[in-house]
Amino acid sequence: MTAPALAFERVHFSYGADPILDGIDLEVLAGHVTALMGPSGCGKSTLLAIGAGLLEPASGRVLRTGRRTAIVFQDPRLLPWRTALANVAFALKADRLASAERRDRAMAALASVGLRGDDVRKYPRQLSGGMRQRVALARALVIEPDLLLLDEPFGALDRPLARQMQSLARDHVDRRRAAALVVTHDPREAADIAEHVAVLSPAPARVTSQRALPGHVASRTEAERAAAAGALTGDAERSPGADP
Amino acid sequence: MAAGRSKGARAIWGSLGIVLLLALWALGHRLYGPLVLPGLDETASALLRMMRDGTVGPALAATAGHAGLGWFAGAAVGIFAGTLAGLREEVRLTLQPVATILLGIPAIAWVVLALLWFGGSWAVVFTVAVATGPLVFAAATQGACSLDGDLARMARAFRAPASAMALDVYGPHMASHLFPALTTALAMSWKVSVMAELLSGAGGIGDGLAAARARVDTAETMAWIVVVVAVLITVDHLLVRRLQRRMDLWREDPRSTAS
Repeated sequence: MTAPALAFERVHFSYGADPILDGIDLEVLAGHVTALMGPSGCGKSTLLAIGAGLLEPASGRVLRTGRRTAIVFQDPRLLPWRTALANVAFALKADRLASAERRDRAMAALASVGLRGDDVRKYPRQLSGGMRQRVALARALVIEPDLLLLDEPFGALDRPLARQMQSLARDHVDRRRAAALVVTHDPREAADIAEHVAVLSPAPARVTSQRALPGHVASRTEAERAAAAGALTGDAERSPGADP
Repeated sequence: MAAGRSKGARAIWGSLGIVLLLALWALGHRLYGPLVLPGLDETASALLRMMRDGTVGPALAATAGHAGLGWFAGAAVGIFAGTLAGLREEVRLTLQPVATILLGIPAIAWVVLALLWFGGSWAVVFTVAVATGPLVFAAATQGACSLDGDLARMARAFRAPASAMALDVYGPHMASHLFPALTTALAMSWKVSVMAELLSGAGGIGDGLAAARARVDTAETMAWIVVVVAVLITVDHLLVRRLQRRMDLWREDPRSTAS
């Protein structure tokens, strides 16, 4: 049986008096991508932040078996005063590597997301929204994480580029037997990238449905993807209080 | 638009401004005579004479010392207190009125008080520090107030060590707020230093100006003014503008942002 790389057990969280998460139970398995769906403002990003250790749950437990966790935020959150290359290399500072090695690995990570030449020396303000998001993905992948948390990372990209970035994240999961938790609004994206899909209710959020999609994403046929996306749309619509 | 001019065109327009100013100076000299406004040639020869007889070097060094020490002390206290005020509301509420009062006191009043309290060079250093500190304080407060929590969370998510947090996250943000205040304070420190030296007799360019005034030597007075302006322009071009250009590379500018 595949071990969970991240597990939420009866996790509750509130912002002040507003309850956001109401007893979340969810496992994110190693070697798998789990998509997290739910209406806007239901607490998906909060759950990801708890998974990354940036927020502490009010009650419940969060178990992480992985050594390295990386997160791609909805907003790329690049350091405006550092070039694309330095932004990616920044993620390696915790490893205390030599600066030449940091630079080489950052350069390779940027190349893998399609940024080369002059673009790597540009500052975030000189890059388009899609390029910034690619830099953020490179920054996450460069540390070779065991657990990858993605908060709607491909929303700013056009469809072909989004597919390319999805496959990069997917390749990383397969190659390192990493685990990934991906927040998305798009059932089709979930069907393209994930093995498991969890749907949250509106805040205070609970997991209203969990579904294992058939087969590995690489072997999934177009018809199976379309059918899975249709089923997920149904799950989301049946979620209590879902957006009409 | 000025931003679109080539480097050569900008140099030509800039030179034209300086030529116009010199022409006005020469015209003033012709109209009012050398006692009111010495000629360009008289000023240049006074300056050469002062440089040859070793008056300019030590005076410049003394003023640089006064201005530099005062600026450093004002900046250090301003950055420390301003950062604290930006991070803690109680400190901000306590110190902001103090900074406002200090900013309202004219530099000349500080010179008088400092002469009574310290006298000599320390009076000049104190005056510079107390005149520039509140400016830096205000900028540091603003910088610390606007530290980006999202970037700090990003850095924490990647387990950035404390040194990286300081050098890559907090440092550049604070520098972007402090830089304009520090450069303004630097220019101000020279002017305040010269003024305080003039009144205190603590040496330096201000002392030279006081001596020239006592002898009603307007050519020497103008020569000292040329020295002060030349130093400010040199520092501006060699240091301030270079740093400014580095910062402009990453600062948001809608005209150059990619779509």
